[in-house]
Amino acid sequence: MTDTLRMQTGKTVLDVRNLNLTFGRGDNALHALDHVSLSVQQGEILSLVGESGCGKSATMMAILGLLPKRAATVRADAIRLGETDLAGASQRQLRRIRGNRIGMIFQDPMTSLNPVHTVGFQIGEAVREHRGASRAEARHQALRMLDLVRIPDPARRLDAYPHELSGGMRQRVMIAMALVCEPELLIADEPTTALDVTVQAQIMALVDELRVEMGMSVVLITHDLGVVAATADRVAVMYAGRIVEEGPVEQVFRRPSHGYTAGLMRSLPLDGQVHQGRLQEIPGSVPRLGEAAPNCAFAPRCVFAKPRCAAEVPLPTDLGGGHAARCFEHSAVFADLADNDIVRAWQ
Amino acid sequence: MLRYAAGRVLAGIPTLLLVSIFIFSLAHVTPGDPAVLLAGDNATPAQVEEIRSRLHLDLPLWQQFGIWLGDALQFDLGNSIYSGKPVTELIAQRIEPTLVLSLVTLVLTVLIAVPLGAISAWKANSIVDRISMGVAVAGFSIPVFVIAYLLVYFFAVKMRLFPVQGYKWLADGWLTTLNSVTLPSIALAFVFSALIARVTRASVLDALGENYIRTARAKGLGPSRILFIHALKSVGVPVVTVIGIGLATLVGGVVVTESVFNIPGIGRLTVDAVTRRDYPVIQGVILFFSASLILINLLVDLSYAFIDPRIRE
Repeated sequence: MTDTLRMQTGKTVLDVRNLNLTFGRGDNALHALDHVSLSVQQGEILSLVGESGCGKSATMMAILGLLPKRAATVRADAIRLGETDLAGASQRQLRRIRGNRIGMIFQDPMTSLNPVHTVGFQIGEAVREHRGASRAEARHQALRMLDLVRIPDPARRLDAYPHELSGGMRQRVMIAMALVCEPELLIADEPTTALDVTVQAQIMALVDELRVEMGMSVVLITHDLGVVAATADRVAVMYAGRIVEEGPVEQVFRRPSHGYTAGLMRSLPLDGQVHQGRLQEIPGSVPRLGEAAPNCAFAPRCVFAKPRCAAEVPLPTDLGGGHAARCFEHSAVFADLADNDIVRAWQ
Repeated sequence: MLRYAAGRVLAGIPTLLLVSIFIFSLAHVTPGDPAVLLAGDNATPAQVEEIRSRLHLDLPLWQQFGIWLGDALQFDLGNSIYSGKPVTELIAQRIEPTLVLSLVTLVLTVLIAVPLGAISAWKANSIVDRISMGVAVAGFSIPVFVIAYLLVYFFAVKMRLFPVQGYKWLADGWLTTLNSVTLPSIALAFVFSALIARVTRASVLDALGENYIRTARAKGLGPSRILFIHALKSVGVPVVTVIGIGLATLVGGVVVTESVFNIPGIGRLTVDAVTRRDYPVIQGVILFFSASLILINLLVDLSYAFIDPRIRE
């Protein structure tokens, strides 16, 4: 952790209050997000962690207005990007935000680039759209970005097509594309999942370097606690459409306070050590979307669950230092994990 | 790129050869002795023999084919039985109207069908989509001559906007030419558009679900850029393919349309030759149509390389 490089001026870049998302209408409506609140400070990396389908990506898509209008209903008390209100913004206003003030990169660089346009054209497009740049100016910016994301021989790559590049190169191109307008916020949706392990580390290092160089904030969506530990400042753990635990990475790793976080920690191998026995998995499976759960959605899978957990929705408990968990049994959870290797490593 | 192009050109040769064999056999599988037919009713056996040897009909079939093919390669397709004029000359005289009619139809179709299909995909299941696809189905189901006569009735007879029939040669000014082919082109485009619009809609609908469209949206691009620069360009290959197939089916439509509008093109030449059993001319126009189709296919294949960079290697 390079705390000295963090430019935490205390300025909030993204602030989301009580974001609710449903798909469909009436009796068949599926609740995808339930009262999701989060904020991102300038210069920090917030990591959203959780299993597939827990609503990590949906949260970001909802903020950006990228969900299909006919199917998705988004409601929020507030979604603010700096001073700009996104909750009440029209599609046209949101379009001026996307790719301009918020950049986004996706999981699969193999299919996220258009195969019939050169990478130079695709990077330059955002500058032409948002800055009204000329073709030549856009090309110049694309060249600068290719150089910035450390692509060797950028002048030659400018006219390359995506299929001529490797997976890691394509993700670098995606990053260049997302950052060409120098956004305040980069949303990285599992940016390394589809890449080789060696390339994963390079890409994460690049994102972190660019964050410092450009002074932007990052929302990193991942299911990998290892990536969180290595890169993020703060972490929000999501389960079944709710944020169940949130706080600075050190605090959460030092004092995991939700049954689900505990489960994730137990299933994480410790770096540089041969793990004793097999890793523990979390029993059961992710609940299907339906009505917003009238209780703790994790209770059926939770080893700490008490009758109360199955009866009411736990509200966030403030654990100090910006750390909060929606768990009635947070003390029991922490007590049980006190001798966990990872928890000990962070203390 | 050059290797790809050369490969495509070479692949056309066997096809053309196969077509030639078929066309050559056409005259030989039809009943009757061509020499007797040509010599007329009052010919002596010596005259018939003379014609037979002049036309090489006394040689074995494969030798006859060799001679015919050699002549065809030198653009000598024999003479019309009816007028005695060289077949190539007859075709050359009739190319212009057919070419103008086909090109105007093609341009009209692409300008109407491709954007219509793309917009229908963008607005899938909306009123716009339903109406335009309904019209497309109608265009596909109504025979071209019905549409042609309806157009003539309303726009030529009633409103007098366009001539009822006939063709004005380019030499007399291209504007009058355009005016004379407007109605026939619209009639043909109506039929032709249906197929292209539907395939464009289906392909674009698929493309809109692709990850790179999500990327384009995340970049903040507007609907028209996403639709036309990103979705449509990436489905260029299937759309161009169906335009090529459409051009092939257009041949039949051209024959009918030229008859309805009394346009002196290749289609009319074909109809006249068939009714007069003018075999050399029939062989000539079939060869002409076949060669054009092979050429169209070649152009379609070559265009793939321009549209999709992955095919260039």
